[in-house]
Amino acid sequence: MTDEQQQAVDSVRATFSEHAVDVAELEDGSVWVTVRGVDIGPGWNQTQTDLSVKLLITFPHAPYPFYASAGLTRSDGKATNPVPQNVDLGDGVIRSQISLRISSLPVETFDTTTETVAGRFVWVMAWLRSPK
Amino acid sequence: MEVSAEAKEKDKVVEILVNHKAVSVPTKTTGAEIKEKAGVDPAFQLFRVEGKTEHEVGNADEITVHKGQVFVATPTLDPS
Repeated sequence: MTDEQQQAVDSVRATFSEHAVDVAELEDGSVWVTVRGVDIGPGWNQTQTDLSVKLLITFPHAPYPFYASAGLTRSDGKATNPVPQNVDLGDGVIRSQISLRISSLPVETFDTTTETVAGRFVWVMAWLRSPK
Repeated sequence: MEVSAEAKEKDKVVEILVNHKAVSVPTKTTGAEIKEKAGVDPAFQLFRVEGKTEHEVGNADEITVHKGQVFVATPTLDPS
């Protein structure tokens, strides 16, 4: 794990100290970071989800997209943008992809002097609780 | 001159965490002031992390903070 990836993991663990946070390093140097048991409120077919992001070896390339547990759909019929999409990244694990990013900047933009991976997690959690 | 308890409370400063960094702010503060003290972009959204939940803090929201309280500031993310 690179120093930048380690710092990101540390910030996630510190911010979500009451959650279980799992970290898995892959052979290609990327790192999965998963915050377990996130309450996402009513309206979904799950009341809790595991929320993950993959930090590439090129991190601080932006942490994008995020992934919730497989099969995440609205149960109240409310339209959301983005719609979580089931994807398989080639590891045989189905996840619900949530594509949220800073639309005014290139997708890879992530400035570690001003923001944190934990902040991106918080934004996605807030979106899940109150999707637009 | 005697300083009122209210004034003392207003002047009291505590250290909180914003984006994993220690920042000193008055105990009675606002979202905008926290971002300013933390050197965070004013356009970022501020959240207070408490237990397993996160609460949005608006720029004009007046809040009382406690030592060690955790805040996160993040830019707006849009669907893509």
